[in-house]
Amino acid sequence: MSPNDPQIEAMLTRYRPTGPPANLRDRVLRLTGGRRSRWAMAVGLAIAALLVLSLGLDLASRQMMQETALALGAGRIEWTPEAEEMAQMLNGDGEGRRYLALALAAGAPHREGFPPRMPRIDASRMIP
Amino acid sequence: MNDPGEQVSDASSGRRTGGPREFLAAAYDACADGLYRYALMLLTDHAAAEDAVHQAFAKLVRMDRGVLEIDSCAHYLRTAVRNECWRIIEKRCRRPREIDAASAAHLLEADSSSTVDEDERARLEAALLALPPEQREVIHMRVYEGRTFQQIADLLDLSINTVASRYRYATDKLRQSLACERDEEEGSHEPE
Repeated sequence: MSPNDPQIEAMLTRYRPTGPPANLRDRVLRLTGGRRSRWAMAVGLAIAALLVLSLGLDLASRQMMQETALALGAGRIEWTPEAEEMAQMLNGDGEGRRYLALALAAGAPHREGFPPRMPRIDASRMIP
Repeated sequence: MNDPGEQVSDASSGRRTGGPREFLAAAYDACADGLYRYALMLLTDHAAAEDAVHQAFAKLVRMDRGVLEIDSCAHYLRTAVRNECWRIIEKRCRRPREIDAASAAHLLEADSSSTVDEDERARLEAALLALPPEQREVIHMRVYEGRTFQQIADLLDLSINTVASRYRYATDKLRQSLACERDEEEGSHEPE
């Protein structure tokens, strides 16, 4: 004999689908923690990448400055205390320092060969 | 039995002062039990039901600051779990696989007030497993969530006639399956 509708419904209500496992709550709550740590990691990586990039650019610019100075035939520019004093006398601004650096580069010990030696400039004479 | 999430609005609005983790914990405590049972009834697989519920909460978390602004997070979670369940079902249709015994085991448990009749439970489980998921869904919402056909129709965006037919087909199939099994059992116990 087949069960009728009320019997089936009564049978169904005696049971119910199984509940969630205990570990699901932890798994779900870890979603917020994981998100925070991923975010922190992304920020950390971005900062590290920027740091490496800025160091690389700094090194590259130093290298370029050295190569340019060598190509101009100038030796290594020595930024001595006297030069610093002179720079201050030239108002100590960027323009004055660049002018002074050029003058010092022209007067620094020359590399052998090309390019030909430039006339030596006495930087102290430039000061009015 | 109520909708897994109807008590949620109260629970969530009462705890909105906390951070996202507290809100998530409150939402989980209010909704997860019902959502998991619903997903299990649709998917008949514990691992898949767990994934569906987890995914729904992950979507809630991904809403970022919006999490704290959701008025009806229960409705959102219910829709997210349902979508995830149907995505899994469609994936199964494309790439059928055997559900391992551990995942399929114990689809049903005895209601707290009832005693367990293992035989009856096993027969009912087998009969439910034979139903298509859309019929199991209507059975679940009607029997275990206590909804009317109209409420189910509104939630599933179906006509009330479709919902009523699915329920009718489901109970007919359950009756047939249970009758067949009963006949087989009686046949096997007959003296030779």
